[in-house]
Amino acid sequence: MTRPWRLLLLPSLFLWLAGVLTPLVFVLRMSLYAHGEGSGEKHFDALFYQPGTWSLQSILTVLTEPFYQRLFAFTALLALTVTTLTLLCGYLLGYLVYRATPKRKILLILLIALPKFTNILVFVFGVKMIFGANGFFPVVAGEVLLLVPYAALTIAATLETVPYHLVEAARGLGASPAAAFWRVTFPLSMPGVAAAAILTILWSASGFLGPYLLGEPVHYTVAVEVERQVRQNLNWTLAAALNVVLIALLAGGAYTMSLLRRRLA
Amino acid sequence: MIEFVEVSKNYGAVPAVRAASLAVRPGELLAVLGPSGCGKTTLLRIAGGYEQPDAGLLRIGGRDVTHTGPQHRNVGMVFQNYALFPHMNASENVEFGLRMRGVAKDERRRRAAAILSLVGLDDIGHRKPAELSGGQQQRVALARALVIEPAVLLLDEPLANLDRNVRLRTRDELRALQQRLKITTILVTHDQEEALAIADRISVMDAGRIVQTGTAIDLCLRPASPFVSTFFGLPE
Repeated sequence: MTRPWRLLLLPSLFLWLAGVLTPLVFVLRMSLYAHGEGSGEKHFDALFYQPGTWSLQSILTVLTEPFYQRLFAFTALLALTVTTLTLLCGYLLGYLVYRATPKRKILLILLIALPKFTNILVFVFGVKMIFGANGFFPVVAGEVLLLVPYAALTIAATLETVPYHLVEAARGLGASPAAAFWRVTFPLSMPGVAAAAILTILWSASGFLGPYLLGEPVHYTVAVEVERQVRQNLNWTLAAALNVVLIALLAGGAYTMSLLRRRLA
Repeated sequence: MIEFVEVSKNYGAVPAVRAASLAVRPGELLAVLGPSGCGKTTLLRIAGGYEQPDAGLLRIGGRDVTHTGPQHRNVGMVFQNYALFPHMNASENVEFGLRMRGVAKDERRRRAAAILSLVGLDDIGHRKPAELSGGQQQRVALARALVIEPAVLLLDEPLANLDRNVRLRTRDELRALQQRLKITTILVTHDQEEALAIADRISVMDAGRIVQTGTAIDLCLRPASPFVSTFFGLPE
């Protein structure tokens, strides 16, 4: 081998194969079985799926039934709302980090990451207590609060690569502070915004705890429905089909975003 | 013309510039010369409006600009690392100052092309800074500072990042251009040879103070202190 250091990649390659690809292959196979007979009822001897069969039944159900179309539409709406708000808040926080003195920078980063030190359940119940009742806004707020630290730190990391000299050069050429920001800092930080957007969209679209604990049933996402099909309805093929469709949509979205990002970079 | 009156600047408890007084005459090229950390870059940044002095006055063309923001000073600065906008091509970089002044697009294009041609860069307007050589980047930065027709041109070690042979050629071209445009210029450098070669007058700085200001001949024949003479490699 001409580049022996590549051998160092073997452990992570193995982890990826065993921990990511294999389960995905299982999920894909599961989505292609015929429904189990016991679906919808909780029999102990119910079949969750029919082994040895091949069927597009579940995938077609997901794609054609209005209930599931609405489910995906709501998940997309939630993901877009959460992503927009997360990027706005994340950019503001990231900019604060960028402009802070080195000492305050560390303090700010700690503060931003602080929610991540608490258990996610404790955190979500905290949000629940703030709002009192479940609903769309608590779901959005919960998801935004969970995701903002990642967005803020990603954007701050990209802003750090923008030399402050460039802003000074713009000011010296007659730009107001606002003009210098919009013409220089902001365009140069776009790759970070795109990276944060990819992270946020992927995570909010597969969000589970926020919608489950802070929402009414109409605010449930695909992930909540998957859990319901797996544990209550015992319809594993449908659960797998939901997952496959979600993954396909997200992969398509992420690919589009990365193309966009490359153009901006 | 630009004038510093008893200008001081501290960073915390550390004095960077101490009671510096200096008057640069119209059309003159004055070099501020000193070892690194002597406060010469801080002095230049005060002139550009990037630092606020703690005490003293700064006048440009007779107007007190001590507390005026950099965008209202009409000063052209060339940064040591050029600070070109990496997401804009050379022409857009040069046009930036005109754009901020509300100059129409066609006019901007025309003036950017003219000034780029003046600094010896024809037909590179469409290239991004990353696609230019160090010498070309330096010229774009110079063109960007000159196109706004500044009252004062500030050069922060403009030749330090160039290879030796490019540096000598650029130095002479810079001087010729400065004399042709008769633009009042402050050049900050740590290189005695560079200062001697192109400056009308030289100010020697040491530990935040301007030790002596004069022509090269003054400084060599009548050095004000042992620091000045040793700095020029003369016996004390």
